[in-house]
Amino acid sequence: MINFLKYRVLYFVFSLLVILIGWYFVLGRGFVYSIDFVGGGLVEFLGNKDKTTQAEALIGRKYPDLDFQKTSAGFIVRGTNLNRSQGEKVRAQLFQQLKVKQARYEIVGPTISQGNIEKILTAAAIALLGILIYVAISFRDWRFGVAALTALVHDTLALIGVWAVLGSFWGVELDVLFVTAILTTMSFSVHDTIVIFDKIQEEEKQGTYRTLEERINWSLNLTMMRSLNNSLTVVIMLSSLIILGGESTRWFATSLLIGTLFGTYSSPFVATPLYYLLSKKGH
Amino acid sequence: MKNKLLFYLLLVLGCLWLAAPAITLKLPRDKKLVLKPKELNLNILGRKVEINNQYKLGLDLQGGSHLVFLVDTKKIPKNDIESAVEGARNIIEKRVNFFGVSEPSIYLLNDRGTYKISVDIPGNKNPKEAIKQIGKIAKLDFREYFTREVKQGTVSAQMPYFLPTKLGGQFLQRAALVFDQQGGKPQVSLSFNKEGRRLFAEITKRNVQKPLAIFLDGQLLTAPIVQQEIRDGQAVITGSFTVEEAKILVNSLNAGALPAPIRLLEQKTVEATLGQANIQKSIFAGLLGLVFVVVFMIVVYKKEGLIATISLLAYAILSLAIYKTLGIVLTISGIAGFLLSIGMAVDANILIYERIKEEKKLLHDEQRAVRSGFFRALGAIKSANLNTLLVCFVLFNPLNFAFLPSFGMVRGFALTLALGVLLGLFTGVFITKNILWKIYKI
Repeated sequence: MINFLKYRVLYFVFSLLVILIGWYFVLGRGFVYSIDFVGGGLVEFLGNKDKTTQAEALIGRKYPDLDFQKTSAGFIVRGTNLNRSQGEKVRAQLFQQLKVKQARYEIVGPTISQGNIEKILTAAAIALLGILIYVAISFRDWRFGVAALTALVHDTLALIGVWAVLGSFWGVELDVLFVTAILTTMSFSVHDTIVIFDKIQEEEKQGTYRTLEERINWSLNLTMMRSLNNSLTVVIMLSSLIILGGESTRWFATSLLIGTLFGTYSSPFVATPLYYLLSKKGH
Repeated sequence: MKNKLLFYLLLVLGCLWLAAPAITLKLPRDKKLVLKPKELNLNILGRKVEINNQYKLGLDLQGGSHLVFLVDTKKIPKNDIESAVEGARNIIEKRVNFFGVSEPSIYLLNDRGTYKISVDIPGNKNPKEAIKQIGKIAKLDFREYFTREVKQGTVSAQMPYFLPTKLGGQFLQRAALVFDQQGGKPQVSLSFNKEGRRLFAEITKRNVQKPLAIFLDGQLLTAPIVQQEIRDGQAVITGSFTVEEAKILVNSLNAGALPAPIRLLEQKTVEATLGQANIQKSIFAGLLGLVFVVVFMIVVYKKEGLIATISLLAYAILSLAIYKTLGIVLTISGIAGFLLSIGMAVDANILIYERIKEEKKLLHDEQRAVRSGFFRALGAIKSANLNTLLVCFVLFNPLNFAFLPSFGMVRGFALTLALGVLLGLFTGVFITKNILWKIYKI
C-alpha cells in the first residue's frame, strides 16, 4: 500500500505554484479575447505558403492595425476594429492581387459581445452550486461537498492560468469554446472525485482499517489504476484530435486536454487530502 | 435471468443499418438489390412517416452564413414591441424564403429587452446579396396626382406632379399575389389596417377617376386610376405584370411594411470547402483515436478489454443512428463532444473491470466476484455520470433562460456530450453486463 497522504504538503505546494504562476499572467497580461467577447472581425483565406508570405507583407503595409496569423491551409486576418466595410476591402484587395479565396468571414458587433461574459459567469456559478448540492446530498456529508468543490475550483483556476500563459506566448485566444472546456472540466473533475469518495465511504462502512489515514490511503490505492487508465483513454482521443483534427478544434481539444489532466490530478491529490484534513479536525 | 444478448445484437445491427449510407448492390443480369433505400418511409397506423435518412450538418461543416440582426425597438410603443418584433421575424423569413434558400432557420432571441433575429442560411453562394435582401428597408408611400400649367412663350402644357399623402407602408397590413378572376392575370392585393383604411378612404374619395401613385423608395411603381371611394381598406393593383414581377412587388410591399428597422450585428460565413476539410480531418482523427483506445484496452484488460471494445463499437453505432434519425445537427464542436464522450464511455467499463479485479482478490468464486464487482461499480458510475449531465444541462440551456449563454457551438457540444453520456451508460452497463454474464455463465 502506497502512502499517498504522506506527501500531501508537496501536492498543495505544487498546486499553489501552478495556480500562482498562471494567475500572475492572468492579472499581469490578461487574455487574448476572441471577437465573440470584444467584437471585431476575422477573415480566413486559403492559399499556399508563397501567397501567405505575400499577403502578410501586404496586410502589414496597408492595414497595420490588423493581426495576421498563419494556418495550415492559409492565413487569417483579424482585428477588433475590423468592420464590414473594411472586411470587404481586405477581401477584395487580396482576391485582386493574390487570387486567394475567402474561406471564412466573421463580424461581431460590440453590442452582441457585451453581456456574454456575464452570462458565462452565471452559467459557471449555477453549475458550481448544482455540483456542490449534488455531492453534499449524495454523500450525506458536507466535507465531501467542500473537498470536491475545492478541487473543482483548483482545476478551473489552473486551467484559466495556463490559458493566460498560452495566450501571452502563442497568442492563443479565449473564445466561447474555451468557456465550454472550463465547464466540461468542472464536470470531469467531480466525476473523478466522486469515484474516490464513493470508495472512501464504502471503506468507512466496512471498517477493515482502523484509522482514517489508512482508510483513505487504501481507497486511493484501489482507485489510482482506474483513474489513470480512464484519463489515458480520454487523453488518447483528445491528442489525436489535437494532432490530426482540423484547425478549428485544435485549441478547443488542447483546453479539454489540460482540463482533463488537472481534473485527474486534483481528485486524489487535492480533494482527498483536503477531505482528510477536514475530517481529522472533526475527530 | 434470461440473457438478453440476442436482443442487443439485433438492436445494434438495426442501428448499423440506419446509420449506413444508401447501398444498392448490382447483381448479374441487370438486377439490383437495395440493401438500404435512399428514403425511409414507415407506415404507422395508416399514416406515412418519413424517417430522417441523412446526417444534418451544421453551417461550419457544410458551409453557410450565420447572421444576427438587431431589431431597433426604440421608437415603438412598449405594448407593440412583441408584435412588431414577431412581424419583423416573419417578414425576414419571407424574404429569405423568397431568396430560394433550402432550410433556413430563423430565430427570435430576446436578450433582456433587446430583440435579435438570428438567421442561419446553409450553403448560400452570396452572403452579401442575402444580407442586402434581408436588410432592405423599402419605403412605400402613396401620392396624389396633380397637374399644373407650364407656360413657355405662347405654348402652355399640363405638367403632372405628385404630392405625398400621409398614407405609407406603415399602414399596410399585407400585400398578396392574387389572380384576376376573368383573365387570370397576376395582380397585387393590398389590405390596410384601421388607420390606413381611414386614410385610404379619404384619399380615394378625393381622387375618383384620377390616378393614385404608389412610390417605392422614391420611385414610381405604378399609378392605377381610382374607380370609386374605397372604404374597406382593400385595394388591387392591376397592371401588365408577369407572375415573377408581381411576386417581387408583393415582396417589396411587404418589405415596406417591416414594423421595425433592423441592423446587422454579427455575420459568420464559412465556405463549404473549409467545412469539408474540417469534417474529413475530424473523422480521421476520431477513427485513429478509437483504434488506439481499443489497442490500449485490449493490452491492459485482455479479455475484458475485448468486451469493452464490443460495447464501444455498439456505442458508436447507436450514437450515429440516433444522430441521423433524430436529425441532430452535427457541428465541429459537436463532433469534439462525441469524441470526448467515447473516452468517457470507456470509463464505465474500466470502473467495472477494476472493481471485478478487486472483488476477485477477496472472493475466490469467480462468478460471485464478477457479479458483486459489477453491481458495486454501478453506484459510482451513476453518480459520476449524473453530474456530467447536470453540466450539460447548464451548457445547453434548454429552457432558453436569458441569463445563460446560448451559443450554437456550446449547444452542439453539450447535446452530443449528454447523448454520449446516456448512451455510454446504456452500452457500458447493459451490453457489458450481458456479455459478462454470458462468459461467466451467471
